[in-house]
Amino acid sequence: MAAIGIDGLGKRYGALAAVDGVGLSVREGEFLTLLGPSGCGKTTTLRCLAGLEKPDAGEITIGGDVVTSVPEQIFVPPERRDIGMVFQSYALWPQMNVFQNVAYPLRRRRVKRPEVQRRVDQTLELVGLAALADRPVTRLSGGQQQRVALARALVSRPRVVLYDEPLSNLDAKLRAAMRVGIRDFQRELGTTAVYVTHDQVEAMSLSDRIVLMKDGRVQQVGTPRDIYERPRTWFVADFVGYENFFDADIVERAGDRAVARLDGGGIALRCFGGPAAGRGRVRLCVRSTALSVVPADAGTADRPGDRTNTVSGRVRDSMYLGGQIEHHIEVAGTVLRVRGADPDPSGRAVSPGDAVELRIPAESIVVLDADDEAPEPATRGKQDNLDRVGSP
Amino acid sequence: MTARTLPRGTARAGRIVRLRRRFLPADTLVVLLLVLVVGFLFIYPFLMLVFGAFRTAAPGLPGDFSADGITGAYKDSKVWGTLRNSALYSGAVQVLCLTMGAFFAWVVTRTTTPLRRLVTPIMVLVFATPTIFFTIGWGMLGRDPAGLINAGYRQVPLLPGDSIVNVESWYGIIGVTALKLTAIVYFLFLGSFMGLNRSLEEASRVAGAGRLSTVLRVELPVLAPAITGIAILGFTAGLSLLDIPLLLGLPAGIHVFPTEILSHVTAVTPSDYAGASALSMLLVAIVIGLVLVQRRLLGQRSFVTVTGKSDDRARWDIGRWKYACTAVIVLYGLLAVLLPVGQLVVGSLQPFFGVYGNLTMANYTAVLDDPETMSALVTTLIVSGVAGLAGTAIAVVVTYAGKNSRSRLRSVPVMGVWILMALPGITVGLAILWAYLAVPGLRELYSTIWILVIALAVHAVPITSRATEGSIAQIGTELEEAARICGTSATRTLVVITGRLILPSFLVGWFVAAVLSAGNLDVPILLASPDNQTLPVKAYSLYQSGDAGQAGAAFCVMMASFIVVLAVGWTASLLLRRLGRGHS
Ligand SMILES: Nc1ncnc2c1ncn2[C@@H]1O[C@H](COP(=O)(O)OP(=O)(O)OP(=O)(O)O)[C@@H](O)[C@H]1O
Ligand SMILES: [Mg+2]
Repeated sequence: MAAIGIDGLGKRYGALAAVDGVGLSVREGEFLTLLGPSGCGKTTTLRCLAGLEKPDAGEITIGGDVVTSVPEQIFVPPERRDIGMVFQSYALWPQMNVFQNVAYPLRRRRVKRPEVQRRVDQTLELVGLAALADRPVTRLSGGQQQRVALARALVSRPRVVLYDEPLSNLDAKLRAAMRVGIRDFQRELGTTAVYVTHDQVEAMSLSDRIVLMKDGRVQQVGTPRDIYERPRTWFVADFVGYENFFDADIVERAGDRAVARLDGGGIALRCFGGPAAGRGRVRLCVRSTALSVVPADAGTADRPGDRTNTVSGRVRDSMYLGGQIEHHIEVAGTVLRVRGADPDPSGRAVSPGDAVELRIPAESIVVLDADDEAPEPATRGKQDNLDRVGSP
Repeated sequence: MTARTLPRGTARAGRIVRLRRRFLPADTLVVLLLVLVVGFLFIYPFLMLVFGAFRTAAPGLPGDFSADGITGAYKDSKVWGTLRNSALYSGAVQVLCLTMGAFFAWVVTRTTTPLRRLVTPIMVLVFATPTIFFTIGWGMLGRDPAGLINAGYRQVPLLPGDSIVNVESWYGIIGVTALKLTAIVYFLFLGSFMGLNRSLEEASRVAGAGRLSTVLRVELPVLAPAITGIAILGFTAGLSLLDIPLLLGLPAGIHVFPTEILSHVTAVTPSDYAGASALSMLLVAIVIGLVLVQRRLLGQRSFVTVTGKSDDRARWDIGRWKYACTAVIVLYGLLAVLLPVGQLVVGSLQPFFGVYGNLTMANYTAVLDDPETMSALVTTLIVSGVAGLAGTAIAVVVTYAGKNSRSRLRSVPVMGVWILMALPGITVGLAILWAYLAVPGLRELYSTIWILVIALAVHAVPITSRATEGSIAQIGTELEEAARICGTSATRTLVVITGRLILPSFLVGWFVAAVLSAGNLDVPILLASPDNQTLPVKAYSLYQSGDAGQAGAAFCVMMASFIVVLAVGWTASLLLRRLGRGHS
């Protein structure tokens, strides 16, 4: 167990900055995940931590020892960093059987034979492979191979365990099972872990904290809940699945509360201002599941006079998603996506062409800085499609 | 199934049924034909070699059956010494070749050594230089005090003696052979090294092993089956090699199996063909045995690893060692290309070997004016081109039929070709002699170029199947089925789709086979008569009679004509492609 400090880490490949000034600290025993789209520098950061890559700038400390320092020209090779690593391709040595693979890190650390036997048995027990100790690793299923790789990374009780997308080669069911497995081993051993993935669910379910990266830089660091509910940039919001974005101006502000006026329609929404909400340009975002839709002529019984944050629109299209339904609703020139249970618990249904009222709860609105860089076109594709739907 | 759901009697259903019916018997017929061709070209000469060991007379002459040839050959206690020599020679060569081949493959695939991009071109040159000329070059370099190396040595003051190398020695033949065979071993290693999953190495480093420990405990064991396989292949190649022991070993009294087989025929009168065949049988048995062992070894453990995304990260920065590696590359280029080729060129310009003043074109005039040499050049070009083409065609058809035919006999030709895979050239020559001279009708082929074409094509098939089998294996039956479903006929599919896909590797196979055939000495040495001499045979006799300079000139002329042929072919293909594009 050891804390990790990364400071000003940089790595270039030719003109491309794969990692660009990353600074992080990982607490002892913490499970930290690097999350981000493909090519954002997660693997490179991890490999710098492992000592498999020499960075061009910055410093890394593990457990207080400087393992890499570009200014001081220190570079501790991977074999002397006391770490464990799970590779995406498993990287099991094919000429050895399960036992030999797992015993290797202990042997290299000159552990005595009986002790090796004991600890390998114990670790194989932990990952549920005790029965397969003598199998050649080439004759294991993908999930079993992954567990051998895990056992090998954990067996020497390294100070830090690094994971590079360990589950990406497994099918969905096995992935879910292994996710639980990893969380359990990790809890049991309490080792500091840095985990790389581009899978949001994996990151959310495993991590104590998540680091969201883009283009080699850290975008946001926070608990899974923070990241999910309080994204701080357009990119992060888009990445964690916010679907609806509006440009707006903050027109009123009282403490935490604020009122934002949307561009175009003159609609005003109450919201809780985040750090971005001074007075002036902002971008609001809201999840499709936070919105609720009611038919415009549904009467006033269940809306006792309160029309706060309620806007009128027209259903353009509806899509059944199995247990859920998604409506595309045009409000003042923009198309919003709204998702709800189907059948609706209140028994009301709307269909394309209907005029509806849309409620946007103030606490579900996230206020972002309007000057944020736009997310990558690839991740913004769905948004563009919707806009096209909106402009006939 | 589908046919039944179609309305009966429609043209479409009828067509499908007819195609099927016609396709199957034709398929069997083709395979049967192949069995016959392969049997005649490969199996029959081999059987005749065995038959020959029991004859008392030369091929084609009346004689009796007796076991005298065999007992004579093996009674001679010299034969066991020869066997030991061969094993020693080939074994020592392997140690050097494996080390150098693996080293260069590692440098090229894994390090940041500055000149690493030069290695593959150098290896191609070494591979393509005919062994006979490579040997003559080295013979001139290091045979006597007149060669470039010794002459250069004498220029340096204060050094003792007046020569530093003598290639006509054990060290000489082992060293020269190792330089030549390293190229093949390198290419064999290159694939294994490129296929090595880099993360295996990284996992070991992270697990606490240093670099050296990782090489010893992870990389070498993972490569072990490949290394063993390559070692065995290289060992059989060393056992079969004739040129270098013949030119450089015999003068030093070093006899190995191929030279011994040759001298049974050429060094005694009357020629002892039965003895030569008896010795050949042992050599063939050893080679086939080794190839079988190699198959076994490779088949047993497959170390194909599960790889995710390719993890080809940065190469090792080996620090100051990269200068040492660069030096080794330069040294190898010097020893394996520049020196022998340079010596051939310089030698060809010297009026007398070892005279460095007033260079002349006299050797070239001699070569170009000599009708024998010129006809040898023409013979070589034609024979190597045709033999390369035929050898590649056989390999492609056999492999393709083995993979795609539905006939039960389909693997018979494959086995037939495969079993005689690594036959030493000298035994191929001998076997062909027995097979063709003994039969009226076939006998007339002797002393024409066609017997050389046949022998060299047979000898080339192992190489050409290597060169083409990859691309044939990659052609999925799906691709062909897709074409069939789109309404293309079977024949058209074969020509348009399959032919197109195989064509590039077919051309490569043809080219490689032609280059190797053109430089081959051990196959034609027994088959050539004054009317169908090839340039390697001619060069050998020039060298033996002391006209090394003319041999050098012959080499330069041959290389020049190769370049001309290649250039013409290349231009033609460019033009064709232009025309094709213009039409479409
Ligand atoms: N060896 C290399 N040579 C050149 N560029 C590289 C190399 N390795 C990585 N890169 C580049 O650096 C950037 C970051 O790569 P990295 O592997 O860290 O991304 P990643 O976040 O792990 O992506 P993924 O989710 O696809 O694995 C990418 O743009 C990549 O193309
Ligand atoms: Mg990655």
